[in-house]
Amino acid sequence: MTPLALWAAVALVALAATACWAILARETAVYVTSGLSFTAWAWLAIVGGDVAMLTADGLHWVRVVSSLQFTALALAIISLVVFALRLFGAYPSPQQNAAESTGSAETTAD
Amino acid sequence: MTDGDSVAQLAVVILLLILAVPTLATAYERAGTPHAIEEQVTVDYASPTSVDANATSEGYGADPTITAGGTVLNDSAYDWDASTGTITWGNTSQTSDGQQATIEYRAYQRTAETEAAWTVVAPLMGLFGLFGLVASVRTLWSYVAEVWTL
Repeated sequence: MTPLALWAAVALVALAATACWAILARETAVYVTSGLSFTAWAWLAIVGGDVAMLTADGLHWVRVVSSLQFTALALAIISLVVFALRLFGAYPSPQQNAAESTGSAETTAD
Repeated sequence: MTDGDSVAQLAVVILLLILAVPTLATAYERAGTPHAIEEQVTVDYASPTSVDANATSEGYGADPTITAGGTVLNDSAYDWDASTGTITWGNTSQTSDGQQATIEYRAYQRTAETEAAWTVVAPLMGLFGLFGLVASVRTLWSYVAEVWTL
């Protein structure tokens, strides 16, 4: 497995974990998904530039991955914020919780 | 209200914390790519010469080129330690003590982007640990309070 392939695989894990806490399962295992996404995004940000330089078509990937590194860093920070918000009971917000519970109950009743 | 899911989630968070910090620290420690460096050194038979460039734990390239007096030295004239970046000079006819030489070598160093990312991520890891600890204490306290109906 090349460094770039490993980097891309971890990026997929990070995206999946982020999608879980952001869209797919906002009330389920937020600590786990946000913690996982924080770790994965942070790792991607730390090793991104070096992975690009170790890749065959280096110059092209340096440009691509260097910009993605800062995106990964931003997503790591957001993941940590979500972890903290969950800790303080603010994510998902009580209003979101109520709305989703109501919607879910109505669907079940139908 | 604490249930089995919360305790399972707590266990995963603790596992994640145990794995995350060393993983990220190791990633940073070994995030070096080879940079070509040319440097002036002085031949010293009495003590090893260290190169100036710092390197990550991956060290330095294995095959430096050392030129003295316009001639490329062969391996018998020096001993190169790729883990520490030091040259131990051999007392041969290729060099003389105190002579200036040029060394071309590779040092594993981090990119500016990696250093920037680490500057931000390192404090966040501490926060992540703190939040994880607070989450653990809260979940455990809820669980204990529920079991013993405190």
